[in-house]
Amino acid sequence: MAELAKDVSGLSLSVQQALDNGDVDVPLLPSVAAEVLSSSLDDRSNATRFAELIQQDQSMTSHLMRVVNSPVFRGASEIVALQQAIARLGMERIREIALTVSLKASVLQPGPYDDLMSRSWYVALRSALWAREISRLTRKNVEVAYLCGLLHNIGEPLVLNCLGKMTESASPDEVAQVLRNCSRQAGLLLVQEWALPSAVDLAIRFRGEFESAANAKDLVAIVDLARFISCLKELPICEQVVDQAETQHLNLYPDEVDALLEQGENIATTLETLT
Amino acid sequence: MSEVYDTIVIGSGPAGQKAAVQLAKGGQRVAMVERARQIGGECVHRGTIPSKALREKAVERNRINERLREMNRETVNRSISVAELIGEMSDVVDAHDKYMTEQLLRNRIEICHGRGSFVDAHQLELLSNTGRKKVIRANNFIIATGSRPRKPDNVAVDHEHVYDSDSILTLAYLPQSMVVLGGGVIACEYASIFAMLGVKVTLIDRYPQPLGFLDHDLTSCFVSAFERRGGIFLGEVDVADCAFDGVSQVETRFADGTVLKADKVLCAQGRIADLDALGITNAGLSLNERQLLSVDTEGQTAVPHIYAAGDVIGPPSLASASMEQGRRAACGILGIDVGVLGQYMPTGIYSIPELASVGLTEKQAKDQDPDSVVGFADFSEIARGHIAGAKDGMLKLVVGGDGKLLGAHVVGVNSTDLVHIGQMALLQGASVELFIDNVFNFPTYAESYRVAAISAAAQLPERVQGRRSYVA
Repeated sequence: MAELAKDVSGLSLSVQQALDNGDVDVPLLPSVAAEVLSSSLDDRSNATRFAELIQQDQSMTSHLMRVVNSPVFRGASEIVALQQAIARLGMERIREIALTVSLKASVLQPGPYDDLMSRSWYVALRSALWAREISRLTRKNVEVAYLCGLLHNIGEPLVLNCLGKMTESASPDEVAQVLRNCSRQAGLLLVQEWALPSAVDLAIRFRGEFESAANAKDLVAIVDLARFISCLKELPICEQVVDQAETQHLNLYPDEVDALLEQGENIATTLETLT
Repeated sequence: MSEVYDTIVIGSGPAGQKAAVQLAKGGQRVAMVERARQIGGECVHRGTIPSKALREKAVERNRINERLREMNRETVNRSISVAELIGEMSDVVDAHDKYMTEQLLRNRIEICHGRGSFVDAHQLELLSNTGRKKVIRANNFIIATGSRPRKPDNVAVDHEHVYDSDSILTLAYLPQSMVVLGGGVIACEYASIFAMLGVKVTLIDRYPQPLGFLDHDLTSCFVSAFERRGGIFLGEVDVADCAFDGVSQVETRFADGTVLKADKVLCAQGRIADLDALGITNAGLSLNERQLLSVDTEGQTAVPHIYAAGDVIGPPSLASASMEQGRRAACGILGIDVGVLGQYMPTGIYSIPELASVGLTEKQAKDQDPDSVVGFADFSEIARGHIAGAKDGMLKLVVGGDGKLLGAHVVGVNSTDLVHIGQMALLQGASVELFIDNVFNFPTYAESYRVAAISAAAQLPERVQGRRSYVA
């Protein structure tokens, strides 16, 4: 950490100090997200209990109903009740949507860097969807990959929020540098505060360095590759993906990458609905 | 100019490894083509080794819980994540990979990472995962590309709710309930492991008993132990379809309309030869009616310089058999006479309890020799089993009417090791008296051979027993 401190700008140092001292507003983990997270790596939660939890949150219920009635998820008829939504989309998908919606509401707090915050959230969500498909292709756990994709950059909104309280006029380069230097620390702080699963801890801790991730190399490579695809404005061509070290680590051959990229349209449609 | 080898071995599983090492020791320049990142094949990465490691964890946890219960202490929570167990397995797999790689490199075998496809009978195009292609040539080939899970049309395998044997170990948590489709070795191994880990498992097969190729007493012991642990076996069931219900459960619909719901499903309805990308027709080869490569006793295919070994040639599809098939194929290329493959190949099944078998079953023996008899030794009556609290163990010997040993079948602790005593006796054409007239260590499970031998000998006709008059 001493070496890092030499390079960081004063802003980065200030944000790091704020994180070190606990001088940041760590958002509370929404109860719906807590329920999903606590059960996702363990036994299945009871569907009825989960439905009750969602229904207690009026804003969550209305948001969820909007999503499930979007063209992507809606079938022939309108969905008018939560139980109907669960029956139509499946508990797994409802849990994912509920987690996504509740986290978004919690971490995206208004501030001077709203645009960057929204961009960060968009990348997170897109990464989650791509991570799920990469996982399916490589025979790794699909649910864990989605979760890690969604939360791999969860520190960024916290950093932007903290930075916004210090200055409203940081240049794009300065903000980018602060995000580079502080997001991991902020993410790990949230892992601790929210008691997130260890897989998420690893995805954050080793982001961009899958080779260092010991037993979690595959998971980190999946999330990093998903992030690479998600950060591009357009869907990449096969060669761009094939050239990535993560692709080679996951041993994806060009025809398999082609098959993966064919999911792009579905992912874009789902993404549009969720954002 | 493409590189030229004496032999190219395609696949680095048990068959490919043994073949490559044998060829290298015979002085050949050998290349081994492997499409996966690590060598070892499905056996090491998704099959034999990880599932056995998971089995050990399940057994160990059960043993600890039994001891804790005896001491009236709180038992280990069942909600352990599978990821924790898999994490520990990664170490086992990595160690195995390291050991094997070193062995191959020590023997100067060139490892070519990529996907091979025949250009013609002597050239193989190698496609790397970066998309680069190169052609390598060889005078001989050994195809040992193994197998992959069969995907029945009526089962919607999505690796999220419905798994196959390649993806089941990616489960991040233990489900409450699981349906296992199939009654073969893989199905029974996983069904019994998950049952021991506390999952409510239903094993479904279209035959009346699982593991139908084994002696009926072994399958009965397996089913009874499985059901004692809360598992359910449903035999003679035709599955119409199986898919995620869109809510939270996977629905398995039977042909009679019955629907069974479970959190997860494992589809383990056999494996098929993994030859799709190999372009075998370019080499002059074709698949037989069972979608396998046909070979002679040495592993030689219809194209004389191309051999095949392991799962691509079909049953028994055991790692042990594949290793020997690989070695024999290599010897075929080297022109070394290895003689006839021993007829007594043991079968080891790492279910809970462990099962092992060699030679004739009781039914097969009766069909050949109506005077044949069987003798049993229950592990709970053997001092070693009594000390260890063995509940599910037994040894069954099948003996011909002339007193000659015809088969040995074992259930329980160390059975996959114990069966080799019977195998050696069979190979020597020994009579059952061999076990009676010799001394075994005490207390050991091996002593059960003596007990079962006496039990069988006592049933033999007087002319065979002679003046010994055994009393069971």
